[in-house]
Amino acid sequence: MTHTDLLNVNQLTVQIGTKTLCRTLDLTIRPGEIWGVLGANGSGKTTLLHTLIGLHQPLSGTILLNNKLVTSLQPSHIATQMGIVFQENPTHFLQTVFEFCLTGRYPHMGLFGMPNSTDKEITHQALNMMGLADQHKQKMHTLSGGEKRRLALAAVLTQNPKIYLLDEPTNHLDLRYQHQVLTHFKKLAHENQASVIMSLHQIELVRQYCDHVLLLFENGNIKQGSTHNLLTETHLAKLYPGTFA
Amino acid sequence: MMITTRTFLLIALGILAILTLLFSLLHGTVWIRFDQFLSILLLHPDDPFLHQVIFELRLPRTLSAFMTGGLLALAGALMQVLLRNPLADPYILGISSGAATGALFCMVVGLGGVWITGGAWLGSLTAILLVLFLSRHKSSRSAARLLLTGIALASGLSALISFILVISPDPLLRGMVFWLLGDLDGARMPLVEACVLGGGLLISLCFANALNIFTHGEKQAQTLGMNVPRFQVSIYLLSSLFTATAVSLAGCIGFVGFIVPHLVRLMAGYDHRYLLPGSVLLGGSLLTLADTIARTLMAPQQLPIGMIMSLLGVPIFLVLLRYTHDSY
Repeated sequence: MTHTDLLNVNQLTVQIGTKTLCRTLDLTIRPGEIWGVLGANGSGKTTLLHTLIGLHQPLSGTILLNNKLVTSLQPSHIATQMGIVFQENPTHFLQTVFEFCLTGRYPHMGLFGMPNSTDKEITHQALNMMGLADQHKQKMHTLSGGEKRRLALAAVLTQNPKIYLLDEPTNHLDLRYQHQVLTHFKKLAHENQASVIMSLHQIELVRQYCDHVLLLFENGNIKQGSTHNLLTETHLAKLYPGTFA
Repeated sequence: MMITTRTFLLIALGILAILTLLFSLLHGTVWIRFDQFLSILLLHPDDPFLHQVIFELRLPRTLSAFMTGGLLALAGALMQVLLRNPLADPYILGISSGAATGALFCMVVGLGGVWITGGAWLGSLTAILLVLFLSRHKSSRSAARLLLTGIALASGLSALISFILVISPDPLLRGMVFWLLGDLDGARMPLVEACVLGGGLLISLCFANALNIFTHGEKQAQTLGMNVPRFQVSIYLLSSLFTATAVSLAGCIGFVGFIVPHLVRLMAGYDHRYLLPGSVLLGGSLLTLADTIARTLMAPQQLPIGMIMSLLGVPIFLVLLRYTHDSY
């Protein structure tokens, strides 16, 4: 591991029940990199992202965040370094769009978690970036699926972590917003040196936005490398049997 | 603007609390006019009869009703977030059953007065610790596991309560049933309870934003930096303390802890910076009103407060549910 590595995964094995989802994974994430995680349904993309952020205990191996074991860090510290957008949309209907988005600032707030004017300003900016500025006073239950997705993405933007874990970020999004959202994260990676690890199902989006890919095969085997070298028909045929034959 | 609306609501609930407290002090077998009350308060503090009626008979009971309502509503608001379940109330995890078992045991063995309060405290404390211990699994404690453990323990304790009632002699039964339905007869000045409510509300407000985050789920809360296990235990112990204090003071008064947080949520939204003080004010007001009706409607016979509370609260809740929100 070098001093520039943000995240370093060593010999990580992840299981759900008796099923091994990834076996002895070694992975290094550096600032500014965008990784795409690809695999069939049930291959363990979500579980891997949850393991990286400490929500799921691995069977073996270590995860180092800025040279420190993730398991030794307080959740409050991890939250300033890593943020996640879950696969499911938020469902807390009684909140307004602004209130939900503001929750992303929680790791940066003081002892009693009271937002200040900077938190509010950052929240407005994030909503603006995700095209939700006009809806900031709306109740969440009035949003469409795509708008809720953009809201979840806006909330992780307010969190402003160094590593973004995005679990199927383009779910529910129309074509325009799929590109708009991913372009924004690419810009974040290049300009702010943030790292993005996202699971995606659209191969074309992976080709267009990810520098590196991590392929999760059904038997727990893994391949990783540059998008250009790894997204070949042979690998894709193995990844999605019967589709690329 | 939403902030102004919520602040206005808190002010309105504060005024409601003052009015219900006044109403309760003035209303009873002996009617006291407001000018008489002011006169006693300001000019003739030593008018022995009215002084006794207001300050020795009604004030302790009125304040006890308010504290009980406030404590139960606060405990209910916390419990609904902790268990992430809108059906949760302060009694769902067996704390009241533990208190009732302790109190009824004291009654059946012939102990009275402070022993009943002590028994209720001891019973609820035992139930709190049992739930906390039994719901732990692999160093974590999910809301579902906590809920199931609490419900199972409550069922077991209910069976024990039934057993105590079955073996109790007839002369004791009426007192026991009234205690179970909620009883403020013979209330004393609730100084300890006022400290628990005031201090507890302040501590709870320190958790307000964390409570807002926790409503999104345990995983979301953890990834936003919350120490979820520590938070769960803190909120559980706080709400248990409020419930045990209320039950020890007034017995098992149902419904207030369930309905009041929902009422405030329907009017003011989910933000716990407003929801928690709003629940205390509305819970205290509603229970004070219910107690005033309970002791005056069929005077000299007293009615169970819990029954009046439900009769008051259900229509208000249903009307609000029908007309205010489309997101429930």
